[in-house]
Amino acid sequence: MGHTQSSSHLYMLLQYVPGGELFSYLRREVRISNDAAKFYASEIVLAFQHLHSFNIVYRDLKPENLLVTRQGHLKITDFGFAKVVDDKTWTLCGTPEYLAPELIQSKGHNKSVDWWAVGILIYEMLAGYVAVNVVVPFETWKVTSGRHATQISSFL
Amino acid sequence: MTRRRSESTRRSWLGALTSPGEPGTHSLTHLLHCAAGFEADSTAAPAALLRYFDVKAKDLIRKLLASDVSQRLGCLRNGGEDVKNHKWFGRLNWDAVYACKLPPPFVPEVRSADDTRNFDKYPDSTNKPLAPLTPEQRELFAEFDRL
Repeated sequence: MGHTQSSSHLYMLLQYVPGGELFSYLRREVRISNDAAKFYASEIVLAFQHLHSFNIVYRDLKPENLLVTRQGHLKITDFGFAKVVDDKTWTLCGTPEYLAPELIQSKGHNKSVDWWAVGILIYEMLAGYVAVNVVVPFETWKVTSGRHATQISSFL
Repeated sequence: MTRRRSESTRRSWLGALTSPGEPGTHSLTHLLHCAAGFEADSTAAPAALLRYFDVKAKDLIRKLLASDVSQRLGCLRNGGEDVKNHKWFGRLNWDAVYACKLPPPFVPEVRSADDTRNFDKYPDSTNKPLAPLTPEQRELFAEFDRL
């Protein structure tokens, strides 16, 4: 909405989104219905399609970064990791539970990591939470961490 | 149901730059170290719950969580359209989604324009006075006001 600076600080003025984080709602409800998850997922899918049409990769999808508007719709916040990526980028960043394998392996990544994160988000909304051990089964983690594949492997 | 406070510390982070082709072993070690902290806090979703997952949702999740990018939904020739056309979304009216016309699962309680009840309480930032930037340093941010 606006930005300015003083002799020692930069200021960014953002729109106030009064409904709080989707994270708070999910933790309060524990799990949400299939229809509710579909509602939120559909808004994110459209937002990502839009960002990706400008070759912007968002890279930090999680309920903490989704704000609920006064009417109950979602807004994505915190574009700290968002980046225009025409081909691939290599910086390892994000939130552990939501990291796609190619990101962890530092193979170079792009929009693909956002779609992976959508999968994790839908899982988190329906299951009630997502823990790192849910992500473990994928080969990357198996090989590198030596931990046991758990929940999601049996689930999938 | 207790709310696991510590979970809200789930942090975003930016790892060390790794050059292409060089295995990011250092970063990965760091990642797993971070991950261990979360694991200690987690409780497993009961297997029974997972069986009740909507089968179409399960199918979509499986396709989005394809570790091979060349197989992952959203990353194929039709991009995000494939995700939108997945059967979990069924006959969802995407134009209505775009126009925010579908009824939200809940409408937050908001009593005034400055009502912060839906946010957690955070301590105010400590406004330690910082040394003013030198003119050379300020020059680096000259564009900031003109973005």
